[in-house]
Amino acid sequence: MSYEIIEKLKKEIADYKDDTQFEHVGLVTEVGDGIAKISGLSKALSQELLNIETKGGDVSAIAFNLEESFIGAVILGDAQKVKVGDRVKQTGRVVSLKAGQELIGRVVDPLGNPLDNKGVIFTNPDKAKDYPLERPAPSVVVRESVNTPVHTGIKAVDAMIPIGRGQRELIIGDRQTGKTAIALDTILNQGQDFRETDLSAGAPGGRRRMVCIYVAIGQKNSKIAKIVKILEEKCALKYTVVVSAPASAPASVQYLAPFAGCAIAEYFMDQGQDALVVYDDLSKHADSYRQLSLLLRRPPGREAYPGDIFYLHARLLERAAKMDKEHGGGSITALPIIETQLGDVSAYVPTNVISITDGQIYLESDLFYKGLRPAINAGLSVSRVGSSAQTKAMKKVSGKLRLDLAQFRELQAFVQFASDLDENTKNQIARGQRLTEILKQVDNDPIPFEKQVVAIYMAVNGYLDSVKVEDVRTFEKRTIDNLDKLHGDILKKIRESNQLDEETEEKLKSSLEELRGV
Amino acid sequence: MKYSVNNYVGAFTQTIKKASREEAVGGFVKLLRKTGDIKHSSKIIDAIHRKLVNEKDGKWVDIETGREAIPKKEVLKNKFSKTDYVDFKINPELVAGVRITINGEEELNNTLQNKLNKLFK
Repeated sequence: MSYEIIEKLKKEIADYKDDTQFEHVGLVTEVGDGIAKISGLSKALSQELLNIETKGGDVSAIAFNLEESFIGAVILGDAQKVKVGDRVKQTGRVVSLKAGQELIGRVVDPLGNPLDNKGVIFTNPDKAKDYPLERPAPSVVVRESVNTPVHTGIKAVDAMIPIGRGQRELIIGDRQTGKTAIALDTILNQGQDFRETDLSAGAPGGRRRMVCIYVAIGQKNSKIAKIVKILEEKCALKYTVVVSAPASAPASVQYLAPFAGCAIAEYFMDQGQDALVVYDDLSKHADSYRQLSLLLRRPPGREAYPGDIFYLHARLLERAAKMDKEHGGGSITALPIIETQLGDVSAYVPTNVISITDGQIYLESDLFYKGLRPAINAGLSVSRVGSSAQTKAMKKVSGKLRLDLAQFRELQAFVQFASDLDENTKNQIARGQRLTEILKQVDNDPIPFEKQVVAIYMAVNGYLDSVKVEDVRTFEKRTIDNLDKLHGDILKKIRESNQLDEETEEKLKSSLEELRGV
Repeated sequence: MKYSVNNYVGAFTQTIKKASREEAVGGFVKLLRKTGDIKHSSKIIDAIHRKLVNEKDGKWVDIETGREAIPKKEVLKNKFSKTDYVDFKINPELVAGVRITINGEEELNNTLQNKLNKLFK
């Protein structure tokens, strides 16, 4: 055995070829708080990956500030190992990660290293491609307008704030208002709607199954573990990648996390697939970038954020796109999350992200505590491009829903004087109460779009008017279950054609009449 | 430090062009005492030295060897021009061979330490 080892080492030594050349080097002159000041390396590029040769092994860093006589670098690995006097070498590369189909179902850090104890990610490294974390957004000529819906499985969203593939829809609200729950439901619904095992196969209604990327930035490890568990239990991890940069990770790692998620999504988009990225959340991302910027002594601006905080999020969210057919037809849909403080949407980062995105789902604590869950404020929530991607069936039923709800909101103040109101107003209030009730949903139980269409159809066409408000949800569930069992063809037709044509509507009407008596 | 090293270097190198060497050095030491930066004098003097070498179009060359290499010192020094400043250091971590660094930026690493590192990476 020892003979074999010696022979192997001898071969290694014999094969060793030395081509000593001049290399660019620098020296660490200051280090602290995950930031290193490096002298030399005057030819380093902005955002270039540097290699710090420490006594405990090599540590990576990113060149952030290129100043006249030194470089401010952000340390990515174990900052404790880096000492003053350590040599630093350029790599000529920017930060990148390995992306491939094998990433699906894995939990990784922003540099692509596995965190889930499931072994190496790429059994065949040739299949993995290097994707830079920072990449320019696709240009205007390679894009096409949003035309395919992303069904979230949440009635209020799919009906009133529809999201399209390639859109950026912000989820905004105070803490504990159900922001992550909306994003999680959307991920879970992708598995419910599209059951094909082959990711590239076309799904019913021309929609392919989306690959989901959940990026956790500055979250508690327990919360991330809980989310991964839910995804696993609901079989959603089969089409999901989790990028984890928890609160315990250094600010540099948290800063990179959304870019890593976006790079993974770009891989799938380049393969012609549809990707959905959830950035949970960009408020913490802005905080980590502020920390890095202040430590690098960049001038602070409003709320101590650096001047390029807008560009930071704009360049990230601009990478969400719907590509035209000549460029593969893939897409990236972005669902950034922003946490507000006491409902203040006029703070710096929320206003920035509101202006960058194509709409927002606004969640309110008051509605949440009133029991209206998801606590979506329909008046302040908007989707600027999603309606063009909404299915015809949903468009047909949701038009009336929006109108009825808007009228109800105006009349809501008069509910307490209900006895003094005329019959018409009373009916409008009653209808509004039932509509509000039908939009309520529990967590982790997204509803397929065809069932949503039927539920909303029942509400806007008066099938619930005779049902007590508190019984609406039971009635809805029972009716849809019966419809599925007895008239499954109607749901199938809506699902496959995306339409509620006259023939199907007639069938639906008669079935609902029939089921009303059951 | 009250002022940055670069500020001190700039001030001294400009003064020395106008005043005599003794005056400039004396005044500079007084200034360092006054600002309290005398404790960083080695860092400042090193930076001034490098600046003066660069101003004469010379290079600051650090030659590190794993062991004492006195017989080869002159041979190595003659490889560079007279305007260059060549500094010899012994660094046992390098094990054997030589590492040459020019202006603290470009490095030619021909040490056994480097070769072993590459071999076992």
